[in-house]
Amino acid sequence: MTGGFFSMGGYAAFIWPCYALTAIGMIWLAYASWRKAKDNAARLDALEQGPPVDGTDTPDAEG
Amino acid sequence: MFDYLANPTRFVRIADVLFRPVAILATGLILVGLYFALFASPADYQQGDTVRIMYVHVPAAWLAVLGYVAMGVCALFYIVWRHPLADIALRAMAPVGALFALLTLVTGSLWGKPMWGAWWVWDARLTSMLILFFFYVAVIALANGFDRAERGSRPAALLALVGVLNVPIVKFSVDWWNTLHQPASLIRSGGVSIDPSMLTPLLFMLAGFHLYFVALVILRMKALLIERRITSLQLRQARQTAKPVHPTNTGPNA
Repeated sequence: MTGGFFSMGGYAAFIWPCYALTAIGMIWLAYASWRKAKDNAARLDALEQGPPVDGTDTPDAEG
Repeated sequence: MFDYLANPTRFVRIADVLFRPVAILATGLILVGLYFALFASPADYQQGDTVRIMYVHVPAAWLAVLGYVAMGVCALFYIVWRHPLADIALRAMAPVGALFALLTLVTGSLWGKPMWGAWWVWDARLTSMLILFFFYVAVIALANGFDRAERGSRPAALLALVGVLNVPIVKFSVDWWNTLHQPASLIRSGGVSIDPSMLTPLLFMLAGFHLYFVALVILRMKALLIERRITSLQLRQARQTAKPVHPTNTGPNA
């Protein structure tokens, strides 16, 4: 490794943003997907336990 | 085999079993890959430490292209056999592939500036990768651009299939045209053309990114299947509520 670890041989301004943006993108999408799966599972549980009390979250029936 | 997996309820059961080990393995492989990429691999004699960008850029680019091929296969399955699970898989893959296409462009740009002296050039590889990203975005927009999700399925699948034409252009652009981007340098006709000290982090990252893609697609497919179930339950409830207002089935033979 040339130079200090963090200076990355003078290319720190290019290398670290690559790793940081990749990490942020991948972690963010994984979290968003996990959150969506969890929220949907909770909504389904609530829906299967019985009809909504006020009937507000049912869309208009078509046909 | 496809029929066996194509049952949504069975798929959710299999997904529940598979997700955790695949996600753990992906994380492990990426962490080991990061160790090799940042600590245990040498700088390049020509490119210096910027070669480390390769360990995120190349796996992201592979996944952007392979993800699109997988999406194209799903699109074909949906158009020909109309199987809802193919549509769900397509919808699950699109954002993950789009992320990798975007990361390929951004990390490539950050690699291009110190090596080529330019953030961006309109060369064949870069331009075709940008078009691939636009296809991903357009497929996502089309799939979600209708009031009822299923209405967007066929147009999105058709567009995804059209975009498959761009895949060989991305892959072979470096051979067909004189590009600033280097030609394929991992595997050439004579075999593997990269030193083992650089191949090791690359292989770990490639394996980790592939499994990340698989894990995320499983998770997103499960979320979408639950969403479909919620919509159908809500419709059924709405129909049940609407039934008493329908005084039609009262014929003489009733």
